[in-house]
Order: sequence, then structure tokens, then C-alpha cells
Amino acid sequence: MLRSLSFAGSDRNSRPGTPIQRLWRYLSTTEISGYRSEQSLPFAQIVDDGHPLGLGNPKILRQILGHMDTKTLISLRRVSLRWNHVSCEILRRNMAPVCIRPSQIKKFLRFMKRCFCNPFGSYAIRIENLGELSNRNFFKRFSLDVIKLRVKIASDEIPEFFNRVLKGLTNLEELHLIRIPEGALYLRTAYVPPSVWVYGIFHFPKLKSIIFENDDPTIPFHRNYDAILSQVLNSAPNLVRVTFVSWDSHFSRVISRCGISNPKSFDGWSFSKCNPKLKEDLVELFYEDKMKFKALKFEIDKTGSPSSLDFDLVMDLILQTGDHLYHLALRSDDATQEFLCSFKLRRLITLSLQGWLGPVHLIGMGHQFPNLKSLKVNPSNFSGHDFSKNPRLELPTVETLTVMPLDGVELNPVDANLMENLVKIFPCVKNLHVQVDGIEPLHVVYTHWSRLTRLWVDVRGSGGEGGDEAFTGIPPEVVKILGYWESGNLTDATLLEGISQLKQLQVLWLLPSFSQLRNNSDSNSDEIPAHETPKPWCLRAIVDCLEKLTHLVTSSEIVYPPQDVDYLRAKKPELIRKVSQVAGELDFLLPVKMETLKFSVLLVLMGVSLLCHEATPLPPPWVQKLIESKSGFKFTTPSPIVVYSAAVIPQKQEGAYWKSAYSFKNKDKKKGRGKWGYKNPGGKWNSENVGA
Amino acid sequence: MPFVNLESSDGDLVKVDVDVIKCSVTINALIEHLGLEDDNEVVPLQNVGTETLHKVLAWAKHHKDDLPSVDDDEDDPPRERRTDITTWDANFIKMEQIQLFDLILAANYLDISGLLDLGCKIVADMIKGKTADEIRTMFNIVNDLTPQEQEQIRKENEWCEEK
Repeated sequence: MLRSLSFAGSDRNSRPGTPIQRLWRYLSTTEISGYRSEQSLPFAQIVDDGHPLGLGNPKILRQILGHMDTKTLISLRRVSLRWNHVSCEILRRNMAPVCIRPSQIKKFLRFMKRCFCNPFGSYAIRIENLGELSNRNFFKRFSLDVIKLRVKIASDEIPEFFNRVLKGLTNLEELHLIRIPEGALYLRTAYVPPSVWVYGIFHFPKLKSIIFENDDPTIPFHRNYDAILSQVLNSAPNLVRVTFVSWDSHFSRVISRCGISNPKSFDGWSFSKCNPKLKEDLVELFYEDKMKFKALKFEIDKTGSPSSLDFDLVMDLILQTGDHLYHLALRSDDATQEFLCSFKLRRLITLSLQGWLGPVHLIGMGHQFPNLKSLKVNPSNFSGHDFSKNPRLELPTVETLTVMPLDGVELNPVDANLMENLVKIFPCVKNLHVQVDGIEPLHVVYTHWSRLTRLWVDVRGSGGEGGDEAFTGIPPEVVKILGYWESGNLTDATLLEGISQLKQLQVLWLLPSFSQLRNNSDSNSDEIPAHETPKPWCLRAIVDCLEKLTHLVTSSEIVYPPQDVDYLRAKKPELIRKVSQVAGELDFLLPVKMETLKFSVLLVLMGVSLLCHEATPLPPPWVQKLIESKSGFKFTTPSPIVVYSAAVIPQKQEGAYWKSAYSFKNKDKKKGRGKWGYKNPGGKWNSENVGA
Repeated sequence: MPFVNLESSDGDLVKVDVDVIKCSVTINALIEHLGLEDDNEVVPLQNVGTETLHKVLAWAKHHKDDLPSVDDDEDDPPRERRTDITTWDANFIKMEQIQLFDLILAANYLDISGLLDLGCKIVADMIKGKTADEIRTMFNIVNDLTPQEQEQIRKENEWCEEK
């Protein structure tokens, strides 16, 4: 059927009107522009024309032209029919969207009628008047190829057509919708936008950015349009950015005032201080517009003022979102306020009540949150709980449990009795993050939590001056086990037997705090802070007892005896390999923990040390390059974690140091720039300028 | 160590270590599915001359310990490749144009992706910067585009270059 065997240029007489020509001429571009597999396209049926050099072979030709840039490919279209087809095939995949201005659409459509091989894969278009025939024809033919659309909709626009257009734009990535308000129509209270707007079923799986703009800011919209917008937003599961321009409605007010970056994630943390108008907007958003969020945060105010959010209202708002909710965080300073959820959230996987001072009722949670995987609470939440009822089966699936007091709020850490009860309530916990002030709770962990694979413990201590004396009330053994100390003047540090009983332990962190370093150092000096020199940790015990250990993360401030490191290498070459591979480490560690570690230097053994601070948007380019070259980890903007500096520190180079964050910070204040680097084995300081 | 006998289009027999030639998907499939256990069995390669076959084997021997490349998904579009050529490969690929295309054809026939990619990259470098007329002359390609089609391509290219 196709001119597969007679495709050579020598067959010139039979070429005009041959099947392949006719087929290409009448084939819709949406069908040939990359949304179907290669095998279904006519290209795949072009076969070798027997060119003596093999350039007639489509596979070889594709391979050769695959090395070309866009500009070269465009020029290669003029070589021959075959080269044109293969070039177009690659262009459609690689070329950036073709921008078409409103005045060009007619012209573009006209010459595309004669197109026998479409090189355009996607379009970015602007539509000023949807009613124009050329614009409609464009949508009819290329709707699947439009990935960026800026469209102005007049108030008298027939919405049915635009509704159909929207339904066809399934590959749309960016939408800028400019709506001309109804004006006089708005004044009619009985006016309702056409039902097709409201009940249109859209689905924009690739839509990432959407802009809603009011063309005439002096005229407000009819409020029903917010329902339409929420419908569009609800139908875009991958939306990351929404912007309102002169769009004064409760929807835009809530989103703009709350600084919501991701419209599917609703950060209402500061709503306790909201004014009555904003509270009203919030209620409208949930009740009238039926906007569905994946993540919600609310703060409940105990003042009882009219503008505050009380618990019942918050729970009603959550109920409106219902089954779309995956993450929920609630905060309340009222110690008498109980957390009691009376409805079911089937998809909820993360519940954070760490900022909730009142009691939390665990009974029934298993039914209400059947898929809950992560729970954050603080010890005071359990104060009124009757553990004698032993709700062992209430929350069987929680795998990550965080029991930490609020920052800055003095509450008792987890004691042994509470830990025993937590073990009973949450038998499936694999990751545990707790704060303790004694060894007893940890003994419970060692003994009973057999499935634990990750343990993160903060030991409470004042961290003052004076070495071990600073650890008021903390048994030295705890410090020895967990490696979390303030002064670092430890003597005879050895691992207790307890930690060696955690046979399933896969990740072990041995980290000091750097507050002491910051306090002791002269902030105006470029000198390296005084080196903390604790006695060696018992690496041998770690190696011998923790057979499943895959990640050992420690600090450059801990000086390991070379013989112990050699022992670790000999006994656990796999551990060494995994630790030295930054890819898995960064991916694994950064999002989870490092954002909580301010001013902490981490050294992955014989790998990379990272200095973190929350104020920098991204690490310096050379640091990004270094980390990305050693791993599959890619920094994104904005980075979830902020890394100041990093470098590969050779093994056994124990004197290697980073100029710490405080020195950078202070130097930055004075001169605007700072230097970072590390010491070579010869003692020479390697540094590199980085911007402020 | 198992060997396989390859017969070139010139009729010459070449005995090859299976580990060396396993980079060829074609021969590897033959060995796996047909089970060429007898050392006397011969695999005829009708499209590969003796000289080219030796070249292919030299490349395969040098790259026999390379990690297998990830197969491209058939639906995945061919994108501009940026692989750097090693010094050894650069020296290896220095040859006449006709030999280069023979090598590419052999790599395509034997389905050796690494060698095919190397050859095609060299040809791509030869093409870059040349006009359509120069390319047609260089490779003896007939221009089978009608004037109308050429005009249409010119107009389309204006849109492409307008950005």
C-alpha cells in the first residue's frame, strides 16, 4: 500500500500521487506527532531503498540524524524526501513548542494544508477571539498538540465550544485564561453561568501552571466562576502553580494571602489570626467551591474570637475535602482540646499532631485512618489515654512514629512507661524518632521493638559549658550509645550491649551537635573551630553486631582510629561501598532528616560532608556539580534541603575541616563573600569563592 | 572457552570467542536459541566482508568488558546524543568513507548498538555544517523533492527558525 519499496528517488515518475504522498498529505498532524507508538506510523514502514552507503536504511538514518541539533535537522529536510521524513520525525520529538501569534493562525493553517510532512510537535498559542473560524479550526486539528495556551474569553463567548476545546487539551501544560467579566450581567443576582461551565468534565493530567486573569479589574466576577475554577484545579492532579491576576474573589484571596505555592496543598497554618473576611472566604472555598486538597494544615485558636477557627469548623472543612486528603497537620495550644475525629479519611497517610497540646484519642483511629503510615505526636497527647484498654490493633499499619515535644515548649520526654505502651499500641513501627532523657526508655526499644529498622533519638541536655557536667541528668551511657553530645569530652566511650541487640538496624547515625562549636569560636576569626576529640567509638562492635547495617552516617568531628576504619573496611566492604555512594545517601537522607539539622556537618564515611543551613536556596554550583557527578541526585529549584557546602574528604584525612557556617555567616555580613574549603593532607587550605 | 565460527561474505572463516561477539544481538540470539554447541558449526554472515568482519571483531574485543548499554525503549524518541568518543575509538574509526559505511552496515546487520552509534556519530560529524546540495553530492543522494515541496519545506522552516 505504502510506497515502501519504491521510495528511492530514482522512482521519480511514479512519485506524485503515490500512496505515501497522499497518506501524508491527508493525515492529521495530531495523529503523526508523537502520541502514538512508532510502529503505528507510516515512517516505520519505510524500508531500505538500497543506497550503497546504507543511508537509505531508515534505522541507520535515524541513528545518524539523532546526533544532530534542531538547527541542523531543519536544514537537512531539504536533502531528499526520505531525509525530510526522518528529520521531521526527530524534530517533532525534540523541537520546542512552536509559538503562534493570534494574527498568524490563519496563515499557519493555510500553509499547513499543503504540509506533506509535519515537523511541528507541539504548539504554544495565543487566542484573542475564540469565535474566529481559524481559531476553531486550529483547535479542531491541533488540540492534542497544544501544550501552552493563552486564551481570552469574552463575556458573550459561547461557552459550549470552549468547553469542548478544554476537554480536548489533554496534553496542555500551561494555561493562561483571561476572562472578560460579564459587567451588567454580574449585577443580576439571578445570573448563573451556563451549566456546561459548571458541569463540564475536564481532565488535565499534564497541566502544571495555570493563570486566571480578570481582563477588567474594575468589574468583579460573578461568584459562580470560582466553582468553575475549583473544578479546573481539581481536574489537574499535577498542578504545581496557580496565579490570580486582578481576580478578586474569595478563592484568589485565600490562595494569595496564604501564600499557597502548590494549589493542591493547602497551608492554612496561620488561620487562627485570620480576619473574619478570610475565614468567610475559607468556608466558601470548601463549602461552595468544593475545592479538594491533598494536604491540609490548620491552627486552632483557643481565644474564641469570631475570626478564629474552632475545632468543629476545622473538622467540617476537613470533612469537605474527604477522601482526597493524604496529609493532615493540626496545631492547637489549648491543652484541654481533645483530638477526636468522627469520620473516615481512607487515604490519609500522614497525621501530624506534634503541635497539638491536648489529649489524642487513639481508640477508633484504626477505622478512621486505615492507611495511616506516619504519625507525629508529642508525649502530652498520651497523658489522658487509658492504656489499660490495650488498643493493640487500633493502628496496625503505622510504620513511622515520631514522639517529640514541641520546639521551645518544655515537656517531659518519653519515659519508660510511655515507651512500653507505645510498643504495644504501635507494634509495626519501623522508624522511630523520640526524645529521651534516660537509658530506660531505650532499653524498652531494644528489647521489644523487633521490627525497628531506623532509630532516631534526641537526648535532652542543656549543652552548656563544662564537658560532661553539662549533661544534667543524662546517663553517660546514653550519650555513649547515641553519639549526641554537646561538649564532646567523652572518655572511654564504648557501645552498650543494648544497641547491638537491634539486629534489624539498617541505619545508624552518630552525630554531634555543633552548637558548642559555634559558642566557643571567635566569630570574627577565620580560624578553624577547636577540634572535638572524643575517644574512639567502637566501630568494631557496630561491625560485629549489626549485621544488617547498610548506612552508617557520622560526623567529621569524630576521630575514628585508622585501625578501626580498616577493620570496618575489611569486615563490611559492602557497607563501605554503600556509604561511599552518595546517590542513595543523599536521596535518602536529605529529604528526611537534614532539614531538621541546622548547622550540622555530616560526614558519610569516606564520602561527602555536607553543611546545611536553611537560609540558602541552593548549594553553590560547584557543590551541586560535585554531588550530582557522584550520584543520581539532582538538585531542584527550590531545593527541599539547603546545603551550604560539601566536598570529598579522603579517607583517613581526619584533619579535614570545613569552615563552619557561623564564620561564613559573619564574614558574609562584613564583606559579602566567604570562602569554603578543606585542608589537604599537607595542611594547605583548599578554598573556593562562593557568593553570598 | 566456547568459540563460534563466522563466515564472511568472502567465504573466509573466522573463529571468535563467544564472549567477544556476545555484543552482537544477532549472533547472541543465534547462539542462545539455536544452541551452537558444535565447534564446527558455521554462522554465515552474507552481508559482512572479511576486512569489515575483522574490524568489527577488533572493536568487540576491545569493548568486551564494557557494561551492557541500556536498551532504548522503542517508543522513546531518538534524541541528540552527546556521548564522547574515547581515544581508542577515535583511532579505530579513522578509515575511508566507504569502509566506514561498510562498518556501519555490518554493525546494523549484526545489531551491535555501540559500534553502530560510533559510526553514525562520525557520519553525523561529517554532515554537520554542510548544505543540502553538498550532502547530496557527498553521498550520491538524488533530490526527489518537487519544487512545490521544497517551497513548502522552506515555509515550514521559517516557522521553526522564527523562535
